[in-house]
Amino acid sequence: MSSSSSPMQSTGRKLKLKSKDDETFEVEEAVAVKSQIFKYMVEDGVSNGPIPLPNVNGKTLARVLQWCQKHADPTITEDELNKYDAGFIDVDQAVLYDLLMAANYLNIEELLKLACMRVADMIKGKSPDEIRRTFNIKNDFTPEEEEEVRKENAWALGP
Amino acid sequence: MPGVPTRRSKRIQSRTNDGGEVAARRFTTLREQVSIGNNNIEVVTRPWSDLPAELLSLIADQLRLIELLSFRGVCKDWKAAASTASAKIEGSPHSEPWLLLYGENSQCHLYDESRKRYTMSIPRLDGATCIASNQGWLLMFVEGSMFFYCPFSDAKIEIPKFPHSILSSHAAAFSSAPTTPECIVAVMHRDTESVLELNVLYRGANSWNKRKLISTRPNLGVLGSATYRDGTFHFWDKRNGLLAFSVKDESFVKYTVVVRNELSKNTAALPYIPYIHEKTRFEGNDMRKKVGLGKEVSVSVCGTTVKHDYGADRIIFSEDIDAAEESESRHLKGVWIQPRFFNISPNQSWSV
Repeated sequence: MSSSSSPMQSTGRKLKLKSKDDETFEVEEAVAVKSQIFKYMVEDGVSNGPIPLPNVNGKTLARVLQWCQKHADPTITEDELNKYDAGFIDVDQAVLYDLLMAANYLNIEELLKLACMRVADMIKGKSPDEIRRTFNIKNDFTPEEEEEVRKENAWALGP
Repeated sequence: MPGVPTRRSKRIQSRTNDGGEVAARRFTTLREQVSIGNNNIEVVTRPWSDLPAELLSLIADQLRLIELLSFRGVCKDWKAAASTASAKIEGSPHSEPWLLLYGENSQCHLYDESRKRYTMSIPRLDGATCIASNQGWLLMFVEGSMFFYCPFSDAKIEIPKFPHSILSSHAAAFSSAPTTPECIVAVMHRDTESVLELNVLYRGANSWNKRKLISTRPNLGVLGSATYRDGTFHFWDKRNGLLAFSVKDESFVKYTVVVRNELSKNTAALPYIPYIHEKTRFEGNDMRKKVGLGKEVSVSVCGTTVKHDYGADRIIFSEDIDAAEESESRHLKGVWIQPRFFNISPNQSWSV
């Protein structure tokens, strides 16, 4: 199964990408270069074959490319972009994680920052224990370390 | 028999097209696979505990102080990843400083930008007076001894002893964080009615450089604030006097400050210095009432500079608030402080 992003006004070269689960995507260079990885590939002259991305699954890659498309659009206003980003990143944890890892792997700075800010938002107002439960993190502090941290934070987070 | 899904797990549809094969992926022990009939359905959350350190650091960089403290309390990896995060939020409209009231005993009161109150025990502030506050660092003076301090992380950096053990009528500033190699500290204080004394300390130096300045007319009045910009320290009095000290030339220039008026031709011709003055933040905002200080309390509040990415920085002046009634029985000290968290290594010192 393959998907194509809708064509941009200018007909530039297209890059072919293949996700880890073998979905292929065609994307305009102008859109793909939001990713520093693809930017260097384009600058260095890339082969015609599809670029394999063993760290990104098809669903996530589709989302990421959709984001790149929107952000490469010269006609979109900053307000519209901010609104789009807010909706885009309002996803469940699993999708957020995948987007975070994909943006990191593909080196898409703005998307990475957006995802990090969303994670930060999920942390807001939570105690360390609540954060652990949200993200399934094990508390590996020794009892002494735990006590030290608790004391340091007591003024802000309560005893 | 496969395990039971955890309380936090989510059922999602199989992600592949062929209806059953599960993509190979690393799982933490808390995630389980549930088999129902012939279909394998992934019951999965993502391995957040395996997030790479550089991503954790990026996330930590987005956090404000309280959240950063929570973040550091999650687990060892998260705490380590947060070591470079300082709760600095770039381009933030929420960069209003907090108010720290101290000086009676170790129990200090802290008010955030929404005036929510916290109580902190900060023994290091006992007997000490803050003479400068900038981007989360405080410059503390206690009978001649001086040190930089971040109350939220308890980070302390001692600096060489000041040549005077009493400091009245002063204004002080430092050019950058005390952890930077180029940090310069400048303290101006009134020696006599017509003599101001300036002492300057360079990063790595063992002693202060003294420069006396005899202030000729127009006299500089009561000092209200000191700032630093582009190689020059500015000492502002509480009216409209300004003394600029160039670090490189070691020279002074005196100015009279005029508020820029767009409509006036006169002000347009004058050299412009990009600052906004906020001279009565405590008094003007009725902070005495808002923080519940009784009429018998007097407060000395040290100011700070609020940086704006675009446009002029705002200087919050130091204020001396008298008790609202005849008999003053309590004196508190205060400081406007940006909520930042600075981690320093145990061997961080003033020497370079």
